[in-house]
Amino acid sequence: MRRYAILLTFLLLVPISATRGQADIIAIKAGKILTISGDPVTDGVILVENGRIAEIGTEIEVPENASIIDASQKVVMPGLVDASAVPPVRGDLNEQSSEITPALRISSALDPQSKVLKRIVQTGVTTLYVSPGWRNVIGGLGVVIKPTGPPRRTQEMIIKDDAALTVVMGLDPISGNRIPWREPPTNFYYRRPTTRMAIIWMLRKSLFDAQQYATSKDKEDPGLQILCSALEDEIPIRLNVRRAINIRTALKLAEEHDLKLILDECTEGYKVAEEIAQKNVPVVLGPFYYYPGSSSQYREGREVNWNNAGILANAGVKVALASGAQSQPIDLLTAATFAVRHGMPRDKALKAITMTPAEILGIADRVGSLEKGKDADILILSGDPLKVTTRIERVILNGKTVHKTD
Amino acid sequence: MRRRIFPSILLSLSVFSHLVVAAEDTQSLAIRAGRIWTVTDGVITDGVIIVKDGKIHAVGKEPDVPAEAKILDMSDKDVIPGLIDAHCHVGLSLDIFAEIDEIVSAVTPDMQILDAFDPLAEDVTKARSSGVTTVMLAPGNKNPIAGQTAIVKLYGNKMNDWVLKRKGGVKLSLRDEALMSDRRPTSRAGLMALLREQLNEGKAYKDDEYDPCGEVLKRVADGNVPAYICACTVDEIASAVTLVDEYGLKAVLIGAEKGDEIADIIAERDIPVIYAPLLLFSKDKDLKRVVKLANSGIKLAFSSTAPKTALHDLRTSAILATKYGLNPEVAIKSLTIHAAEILGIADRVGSIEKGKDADLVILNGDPLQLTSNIEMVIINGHIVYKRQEE
Amino acid sequence: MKSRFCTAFTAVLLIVFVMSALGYAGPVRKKLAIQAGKIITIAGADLKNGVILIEDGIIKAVGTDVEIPWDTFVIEAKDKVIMPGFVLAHTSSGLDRANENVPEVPFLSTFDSIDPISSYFEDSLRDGVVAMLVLPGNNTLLGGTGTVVRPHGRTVEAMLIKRYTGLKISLRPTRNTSRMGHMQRFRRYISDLKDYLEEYEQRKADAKEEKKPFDEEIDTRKQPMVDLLDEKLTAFIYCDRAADIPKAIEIHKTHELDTVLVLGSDCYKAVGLIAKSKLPVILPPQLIVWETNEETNEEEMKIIPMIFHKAGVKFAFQTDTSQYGSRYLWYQAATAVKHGMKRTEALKSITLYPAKFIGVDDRLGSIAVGKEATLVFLTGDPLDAQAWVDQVMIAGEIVYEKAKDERLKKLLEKPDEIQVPEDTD
Repeated sequence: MRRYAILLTFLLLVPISATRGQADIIAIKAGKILTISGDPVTDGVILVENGRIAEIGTEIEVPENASIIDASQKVVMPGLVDASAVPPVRGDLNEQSSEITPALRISSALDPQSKVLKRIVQTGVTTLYVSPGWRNVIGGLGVVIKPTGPPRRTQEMIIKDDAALTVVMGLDPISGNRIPWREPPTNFYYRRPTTRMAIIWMLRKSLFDAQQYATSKDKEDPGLQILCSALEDEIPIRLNVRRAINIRTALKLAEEHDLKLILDECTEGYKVAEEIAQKNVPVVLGPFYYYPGSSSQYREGREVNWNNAGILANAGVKVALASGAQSQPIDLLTAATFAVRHGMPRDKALKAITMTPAEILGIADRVGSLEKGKDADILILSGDPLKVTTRIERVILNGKTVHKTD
Repeated sequence: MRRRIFPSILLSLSVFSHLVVAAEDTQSLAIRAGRIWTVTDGVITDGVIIVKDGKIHAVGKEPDVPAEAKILDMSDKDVIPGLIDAHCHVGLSLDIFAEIDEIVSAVTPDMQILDAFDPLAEDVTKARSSGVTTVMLAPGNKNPIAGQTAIVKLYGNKMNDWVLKRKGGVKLSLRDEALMSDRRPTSRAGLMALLREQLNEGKAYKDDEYDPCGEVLKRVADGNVPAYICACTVDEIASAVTLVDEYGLKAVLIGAEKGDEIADIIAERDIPVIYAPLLLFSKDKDLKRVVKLANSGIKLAFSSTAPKTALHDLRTSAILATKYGLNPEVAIKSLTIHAAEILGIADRVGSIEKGKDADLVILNGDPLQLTSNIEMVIINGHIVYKRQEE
Repeated sequence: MKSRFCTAFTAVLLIVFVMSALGYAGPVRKKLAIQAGKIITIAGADLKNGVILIEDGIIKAVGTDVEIPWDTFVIEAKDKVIMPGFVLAHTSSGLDRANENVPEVPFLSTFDSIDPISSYFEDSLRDGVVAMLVLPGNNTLLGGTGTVVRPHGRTVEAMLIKRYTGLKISLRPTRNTSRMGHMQRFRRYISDLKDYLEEYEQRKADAKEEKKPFDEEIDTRKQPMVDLLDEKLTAFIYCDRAADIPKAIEIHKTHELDTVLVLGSDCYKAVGLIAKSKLPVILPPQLIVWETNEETNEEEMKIIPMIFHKAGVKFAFQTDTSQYGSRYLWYQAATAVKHGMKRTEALKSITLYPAKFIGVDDRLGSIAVGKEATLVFLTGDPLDAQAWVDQVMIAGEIVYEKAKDERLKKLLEKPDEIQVPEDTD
């Protein structure tokens, strides 16, 4: 009899300990909640269940079995969305054997063990967009991922594949044109474009080929298939442009072919802010370079305006601030802080690292704000996010704490 | 009269030729051994192995010993089946780095590695003392689709004796080595795109328009021929698994050094693994990985990638693995029968059973001890190596 | 005649009255008073609604209940935060070339290569820096002597605060040399110098004995190193890697030099040795370094100022010319405060400590009686990214005003109407 009693007790304990270990329900008691979607909430509670936000408000009943995170002296905001991040990819980001590679998917080259992912989580980013490189005129398809660990299969990280087609109108495709040392002169580096004219010509030709393909398919061509999808607005185009003249050309091209356009980098966007606003084209800004690094950036990025983000935002353009896929990325909170310093309105700057990139990437139903039903991607900060002295104390991704500072 | 002479001439000729052949045949052997590791049927203590016509005629405690058999007294020794190195490049060239990768073109499925094999090469002769008797030869890792593998023995009089399989399977590489700066692919994304492209072409191939590459690719894409995929880091293995899922490939992973991190995903799909060599200077945490793989139910074989490392390192790999927790029985099996099953040659090698090839290794101690020396190696019934006393 | 004189005199009086009423800061005023919303003195506690009295460019008084004399020109700054101007203890920018091709050139001086027109100085003044020690770069063994300048002035003479300050020694091996060779070069130079001095002293002694006049001077090319050995010049030793720290400390001890360590990003690994040596330290511009933990494979952020702060090391910050963040001294201090450094210490590390390290703390680095009235007027808290430098005062004279900064306007404001080209299609 005793044996059965012990067995029974043991059996009863097991499920209890199991649920306690899982901590399915988390309650975050926060001093200030920046929901982004609405007004800030003071002394509120966020209930997280199964990786989603179950409830959020001031009059929330906290269930018995919830594990409590006390952030009553802290500021809570949504996990940051990086619309153009340093790619967690080994090796070359560009398939350099051809300048037009629309069917190239950067998602098949993601390395879940990349240091980039581990670092970016610590800067508060919970969702990021990874793009193929900018050396090809049409680089390929980008992907939206969440840096979920432990690192295993890339499929587990992807939340939206084939998210956008990378097209470059900046001067990067002509910058790689030198033959690697000791290689024979008969290789593809010689075929690449060497002028801006050629870049735009290649782009127009590809769009033309796609249109031809749409009407008469003799042989399956996955590359042209992707371009057709882009022409039919099924896949947005992430266009890398820096100079004002190129931005105008881009807007014109978009109108001609009725493309769904997103402008990347947009260094001189401030010069043509109204035109961009008129065409309802969103913009993803990387860090500006006062003394630019790469030669193409230098050629095209010398007329910077520190208040690019502010001028664009005030003209009505949807602006996202990204860390920038270049070698010297900047963390998003610093980007937003300095954007405000240089003239961007505060609320727009906070949106620019959360809701706006989520909308641009087409995943606003899941991330970008603290609302009931969305993914539980939450940052707990020591103070106002737009202060340099504020620290990220905890990063929660899909309801799980993935980073904590002591 | 003429009618009877003709058949009798034929008969005598055949008898004569048979005698000639018989003269070339190996001598029958009766090996008395202290411990016989049959692999499939346990360890027989104080048993005898009868070798006849290059095959294992009988094995047991007291089998019938043929009259003409030469008796080898190994009553204090251990006998194991000849070891199988499931992936290496032995005998392929004087300068190995030059001959196993045809890198000018990224896709060369029609190339057969056997065409580059030199059975009289020095490293093959030297390799016999390692206890490895059967190897799978493969092209290198610098081509995404590198060519067809071959399975050979390290000894044979005639070509048929050497070669077990001329076209074993197709070698694919997902490594960074396959990325070049002057030919496609230059990036990892490009590598995956290329593989998918080629597999799609394989699937779509119709033999009314003969194309040697297409024919091979079709067999791979349809899962009729093994795809030996070289993938070592987690993302490479994951990419390999993705291709398996998409195309239904009959895949075997080569290398899989970090495979333990996604062992359940590999095990789910019953993908066997030919593990990379374990070396004495490898880190502890890396040496534990293969154990986790084996414990997840994945069928394992070892490889040496000779001559990058030595064939002798094959047995060392198994020994190191047991040091870090691999079940000794699984270790022996991974060197023998499992490797044979993965390579599809288990009907001929991999265990000491009646009817299989007489590939035997005689040691003066437990095969899983580094201190045990290999005293003798027999391939197809021939004694190909005998340890000289110093 | 008399009436004309009267008119002229009245006219002059009127003009002077109007000009002073309009606040014309033409000639440097002899007496000034600043009425500030907040004064961060650095020397003591912060003052709310304080007053600073200045006479002839020197601070005469500072406090909350200071009486302003009748003949003092008052600057209203009730909405501003006043603090000492920032001091940069080490920079190699603003020179035409930071390094010389030859490794041993201690006789060179940055005074001869500072370019007053360089945008580096304009940017520094805009960012609130009022003094910087410009030293040769990190790629020359004995680079030369430094110059303390203010980032304001058309000529180097006009910019000059203090000449012949600091001698730069770099432990980064010059091109094609190994570390062994580099150190041996240094030792040989010193040994040759000592031989030279010995012979010189011998000749001097001989002359004295023979009662002959001795007017031979020490070779001017060797003089700076002689002054270094006599502790008349401070050695600024640049250490590239942690492995260079013990060598720097050895040099300091063996030759008994007055030393300041200038650190590379890797040197935090030698914090223990540095703390023990009690030497002042100038941190690298990059304050955050990522390290991969060998065991766990996790990426860890190493916060360099905190590593040194916890070890009790006194340091000054450096800046670089990258965009954002590390470009600004206040940002470096704010980063340290973010990760746990005390605010007052962090602010000292961009004002008083660097002033001490470069030997100008008698006049700069804090707001105290007797020091120079060299201050920044901030629109908010120095560690707040939204605060700007509104004005910079150097020795009682306003030398920078954000409202009149044309270049900054161009960088922040929307440009004028750009001509939109006509569509040709």
